[in-house]
Amino acid sequence: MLTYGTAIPIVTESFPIPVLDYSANVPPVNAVVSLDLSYYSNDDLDWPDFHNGLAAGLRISKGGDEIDSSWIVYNKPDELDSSHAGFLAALGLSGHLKKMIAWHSFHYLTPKHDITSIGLLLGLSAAYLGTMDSKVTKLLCVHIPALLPPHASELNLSTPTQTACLLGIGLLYMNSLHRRTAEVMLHEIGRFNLTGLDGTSSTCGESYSLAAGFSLGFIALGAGDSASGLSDIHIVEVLRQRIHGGKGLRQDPHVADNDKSKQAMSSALFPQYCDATAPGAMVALSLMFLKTNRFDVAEKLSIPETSYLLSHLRPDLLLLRIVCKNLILWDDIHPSQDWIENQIPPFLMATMANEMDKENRNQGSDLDESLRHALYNILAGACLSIGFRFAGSANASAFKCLLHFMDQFINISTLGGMIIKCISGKFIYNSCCVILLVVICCI
Amino acid sequence: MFTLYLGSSFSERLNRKVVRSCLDVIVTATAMVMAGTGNLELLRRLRKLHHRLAPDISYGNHMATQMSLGLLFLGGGEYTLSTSNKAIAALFCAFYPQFPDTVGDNRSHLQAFRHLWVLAVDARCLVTRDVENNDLCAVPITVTIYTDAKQDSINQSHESILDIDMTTPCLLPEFHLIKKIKSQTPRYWPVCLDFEINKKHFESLQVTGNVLFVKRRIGHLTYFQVW
Repeated sequence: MLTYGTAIPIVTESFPIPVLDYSANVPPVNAVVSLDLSYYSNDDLDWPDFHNGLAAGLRISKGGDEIDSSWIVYNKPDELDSSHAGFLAALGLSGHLKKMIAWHSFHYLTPKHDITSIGLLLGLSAAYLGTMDSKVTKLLCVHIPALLPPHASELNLSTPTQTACLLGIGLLYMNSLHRRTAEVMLHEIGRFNLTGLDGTSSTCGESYSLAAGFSLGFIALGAGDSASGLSDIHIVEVLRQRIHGGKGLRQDPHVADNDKSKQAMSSALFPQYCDATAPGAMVALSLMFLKTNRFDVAEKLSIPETSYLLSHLRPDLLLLRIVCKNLILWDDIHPSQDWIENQIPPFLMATMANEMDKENRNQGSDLDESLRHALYNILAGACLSIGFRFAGSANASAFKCLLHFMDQFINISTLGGMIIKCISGKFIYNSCCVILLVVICCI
Repeated sequence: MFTLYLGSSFSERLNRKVVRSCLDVIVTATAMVMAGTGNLELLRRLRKLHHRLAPDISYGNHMATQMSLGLLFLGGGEYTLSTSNKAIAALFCAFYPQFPDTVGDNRSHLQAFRHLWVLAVDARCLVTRDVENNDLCAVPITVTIYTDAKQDSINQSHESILDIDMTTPCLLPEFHLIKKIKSQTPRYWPVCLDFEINKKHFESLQVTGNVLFVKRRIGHLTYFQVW
């Protein structure tokens, strides 16, 4: 991020992507120890390489018309690798992929190199943001079974690729309120038990559902109820059911005809499945009603008021609920400590006050762990809402308030003696390696 | 509220994990607010977090810290984040509160989406240059902003306004909030960009890439010269 948009490429040369350095200095002798890469499988290094390529690509500034299709292809390595995939995604994010001629993209897609497909398709959709370009739509649709005609031949596509394409569609149709895609996305939020390439159930189901949620959110961004064309698919009701479970859905003859959707809906009726579908549904709901200050919609995302109900909800979903609720009630966000503490339900606040009394009298704490986790997540959620509301504003009171909570959390996370000096060497190398990777990723 | 006994039993390790992931979220939130400013107080804390080395600090913990670090110096301080609908959605996607556990973890959020912050980036760094020699110069300015403006709404009555004193080069507030920018110095001839009255002022600023040309008065020093 540091070097974002600072470099201008030389058209006659390929763009250098720095190679990740996996070696580490070990104090006190400062011996350089390099990491044995054979210890890791290729899959482990794919994503760091992707981030690295992306970071390198983002250095290219947004303007400048030197970049053309042939230059992009000129940079293509003989064998597709993940850092080049990242590079393509970066070019897309900064809008340069628009200049790529369509048939060039097939060179990247035909080898079915997973990460390259993800990078290229995500990049293309970001480059054509909100344009509903038909060529890119076709490219993306081919990768999403849900958008293919019924009884189409099975395409061996990994779940991450499908996930990326799902979000790509969302970016491409941003703000369009396109009815067909919105309907498909709404349906895909409820699909989380996907099968992977080898026929086993995929581990990425939750991210697929989430991507569908984001996608729906992008399509109907901030539209709220004004999306009259979408009113007949009952988005709000379906999403509510995906969040809370239960049978809230109106029986629609149109839906009942469709075998597939019936299946998906019946599977989502049980609350235990909602853990997987809720994040996507919450995100979709919050982005759809972004900044509308609609209290009635936000109420669907309110957090439970009793300890019994609270114990039925995963703490990280609690965090998400707080954030989503506050994105809808945009104008109510205040950069103050009081506002953050007001987000905590009264009963939890009372329990906490009780607890503090006890601790002051040195009676030890017998608080239920889950309540503690809930509390921390609620606070973090409230902080993230402030982060979104005042993003890039350098608002002094928001900063002060966030810093206060950050210090509190740093304090409690360091209590257990975090810097363990005598950990075995292997761990040092591993974590050094990861640190290095991510530093480069972000800078 | 913030006392916790951390040890090595299962529940204690779980506690630590929860606290850390919450800390990640708060760190990214703070960095979002201060994006591009390079704030020193935040940098100090991020440095401290950056130096954490322990087997149970996960890839995601580091990712959050490093992303915040990058965000704090976004584009070398030339860029910051916007809060338009598109930007908020992109930021939500990029800083989705669940960070990956291991390097290849795509279970709850695809790692490729972590880069969508690019869609929320906004170039808002105002730079002043001397029109005579095109040199960079520092000029104290006053920016008048609306405190009640909403994005995307066309007809609105602005009642409350606020003056902010800054010195260029600086990161401006969001453009839809700005009423006017006025130089406040005897050393340069006065410049005033009034976005409310003259839309062309805004357009020309976009064309020059947020560069404002000023002319120094005869017999006055620049702010870089001591005497």
